[in-house]
Amino acid sequence: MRPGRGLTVTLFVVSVVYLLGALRISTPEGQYAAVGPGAFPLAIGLGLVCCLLWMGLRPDRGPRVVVVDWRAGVLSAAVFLIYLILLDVVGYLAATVPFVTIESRLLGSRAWRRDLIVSVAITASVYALFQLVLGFRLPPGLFG
Amino acid sequence: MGALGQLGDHLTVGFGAALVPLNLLFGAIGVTMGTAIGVLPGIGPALTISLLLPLTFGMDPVGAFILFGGIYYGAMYGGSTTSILVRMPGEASSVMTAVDGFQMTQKGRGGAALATAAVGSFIAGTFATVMLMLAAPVLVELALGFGPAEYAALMVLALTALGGLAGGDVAKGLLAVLLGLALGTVGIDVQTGQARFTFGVLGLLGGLNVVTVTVGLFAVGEVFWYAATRQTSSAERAQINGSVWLTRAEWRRSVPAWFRGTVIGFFTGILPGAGATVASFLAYDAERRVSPMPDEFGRGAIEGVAGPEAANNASAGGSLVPLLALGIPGSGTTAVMLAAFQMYGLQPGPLLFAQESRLVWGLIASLYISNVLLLVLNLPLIRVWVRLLQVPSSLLFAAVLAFATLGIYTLNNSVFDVFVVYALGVVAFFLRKHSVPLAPVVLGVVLGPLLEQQFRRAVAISGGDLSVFVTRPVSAAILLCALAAVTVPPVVRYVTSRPR
Repeated sequence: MRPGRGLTVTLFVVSVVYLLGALRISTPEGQYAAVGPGAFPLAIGLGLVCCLLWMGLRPDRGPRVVVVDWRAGVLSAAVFLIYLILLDVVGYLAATVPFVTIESRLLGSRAWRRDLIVSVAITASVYALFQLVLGFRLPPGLFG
Repeated sequence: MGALGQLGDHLTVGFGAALVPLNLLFGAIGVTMGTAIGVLPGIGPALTISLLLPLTFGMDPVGAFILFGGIYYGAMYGGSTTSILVRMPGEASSVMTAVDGFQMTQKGRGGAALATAAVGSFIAGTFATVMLMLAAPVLVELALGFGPAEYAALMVLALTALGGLAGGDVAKGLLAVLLGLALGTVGIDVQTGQARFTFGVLGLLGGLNVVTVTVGLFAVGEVFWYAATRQTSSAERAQINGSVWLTRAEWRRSVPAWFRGTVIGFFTGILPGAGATVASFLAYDAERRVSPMPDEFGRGAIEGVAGPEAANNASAGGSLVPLLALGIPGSGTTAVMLAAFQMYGLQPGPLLFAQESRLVWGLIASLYISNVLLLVLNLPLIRVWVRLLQVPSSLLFAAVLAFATLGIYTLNNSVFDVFVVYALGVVAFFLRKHSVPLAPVVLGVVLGPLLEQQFRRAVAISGGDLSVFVTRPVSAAILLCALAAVTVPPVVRYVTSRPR
C-alpha cells in the first residue's frame, strides 16, 4: 500500500458500511413521504464511495510531508481518554487539575511548578465561571 | 427617497440597540478577544465562537451576536500583527500578509506595515459594512420569492463552492463536504421520526450537535495536531524600530491598495465558500499585477500588506450578507454563527429582517462600532499582542482542552458528548494529516439537515417530480453555478499547467 492510502481505504470501508446502513432505512409504516428518510443518506453514501474511488484510483499527488511524532500523539490521546473516564468518577475539579498539568507537559512544557499553578488557576476560574456565575452543574464527583 | 428614509430608520434602531452600554461592552470584549485569538496561531474565530456558544445560551441574542461580530472582525485584524512581526500568521487569511509584512519588519518598517494593516482593515471593515447594509435588503427582496427548490439549490451551491475552492484539491474538498453531510444524517429524521445511524445509542438520537462537531474538529483536533507535530510553534522574536507611522510615499501607495482590497474582499466574501483566505490571495495577486514595480513583491512591498489585509476584513462583512439575508453560511465562522441563530430559535433569512430588525440592525451597527474600537485599541496595543505570543503553546492548548471539555459537557450534562468530541478530534487529526480541509465538514453538518428538509419539501410540493430543480429558472441557474464551482477549478488548473 502506498503511503497516504490508509485514510482512503479506511474511509472507503466506513462509507460502504454507511451505504449499507442507508439501504436498510425504511419509511415507518403508515407514513407517507414523497422522498423517504433513506434517500438522502443513500445519495451521500454513493457520493462518498465514488469520491473515495476517485481519490484511490487517480495518480498519487504525493501527500504533504508532515513529521508526526506518533508516541506524543497517542500518549496525549490516551491521557485525554483517562481524563474523560475520571471526569465522571472524581468530578471536574479533581480530574482537570492533573489533566491540564500532564497534558501541557506532553505538549512540550518543561516547567512542572508553573504548569501546576497555571492549571489550578485555569480550572478554578473556569469552574467559578460555569458553576458559580452561570449556574451550570459540572460533574460533581468527590468534591461536589 | 423612501428607501433612504427606511435605511435611516433601520440605522436608528440598530445604533439604538448597539449603543446600550451592556452591548457596547460586549462589542469591546468581542474585538479584544477577536484580536487576541487572531494573534494566537491555531485558534480562530470559528473555534472561539463555538466555545462561547454554551456560555451565551442565557444571554440576550442581540448582545451575543454583537460579541460574535466583534470576534469575527477582530480576528481578521489580529492575524496581521503576528504575520508582520514574526512571520507567523495567526489565521490562514493572513498568510499573504506574512510575505511582504515580515520583509518590511526586517527592513525596520514593521511599524508602517502594522499601521497600513490597521488603517486598511478599518477602511475595509467600514465600507464592507456599508455594502452589507445596502446589499442585504436587496437580497432579501429577491429571496422572498424563493421556494424550497431555490433554497435547496443555494445550499448545494454553498457546499460545492466551499468543497471546490477551499482546499485546492477538489476531490478532498468534496470528500470533506460528504463526510459532513453523512455526520449530519445521524439522529431522528424530523419528517418521519425514523432513527438513522444511531446504532441504538440514546445519546445519538438527537443528532450530532453542531457545537460538538466544531469543537471536536477544530479545538480538540488542533490540540492533537500540535501534540503530534509541534507545528505552529517556534516564533522568531520581533523588534519594532523606526517610526511606527506611515511616510507620505507609503500613504500614496497604500490608499489605492486598500480600496482595491475592499472591493475584492467584499465580493469574494459574498460568494459561498471563497472566504477570507481566497480574498487575501486574490488581493495580493491583483496588487502585484497593477503595480509598476512587481519585482518588489516578496521583498517588502507595502501594497502586499495593505491589499490583502483590507481584503480579509472586507470579506468578513461580505460573508454576513448571505448568512443574514438567506440563512446560508459560506464559511466556517458563519456556519457556527448560523448554529448560534438556531440555538436561539431564530432562522436567518428574509423573515429575520422583518421580525428581528433590532437584532439584525443592531449587529450591523455594532460592526461600525467594532471597527472604530479595533482601530483605537490596536494602534497602542501592538506591543501587548506581541507579548501574548510568549505564552507557551503547550499551556495554551491544555487550557483550550479544559475549556472545550467543560463547554461540551454543559450542553447536555453528558460525558457521552465529550467522548464524541474526542473521537471527532482524532478524525480531524487524520483528515488534516492528509490535507483534507475541515471547514467544509462543519458546513456539511450544518447545512445537510436543512438541505435535506428543503429538498424533500420541494419534491413533496411538486408531487414527487424531481424536475422542479431544473425547471424553475432561479433554481436551475444556481445549480449551474454549483456545477461550475466543482468543474471549473480543475479545468483551469489543467489548462494553465499544460506546457505550451
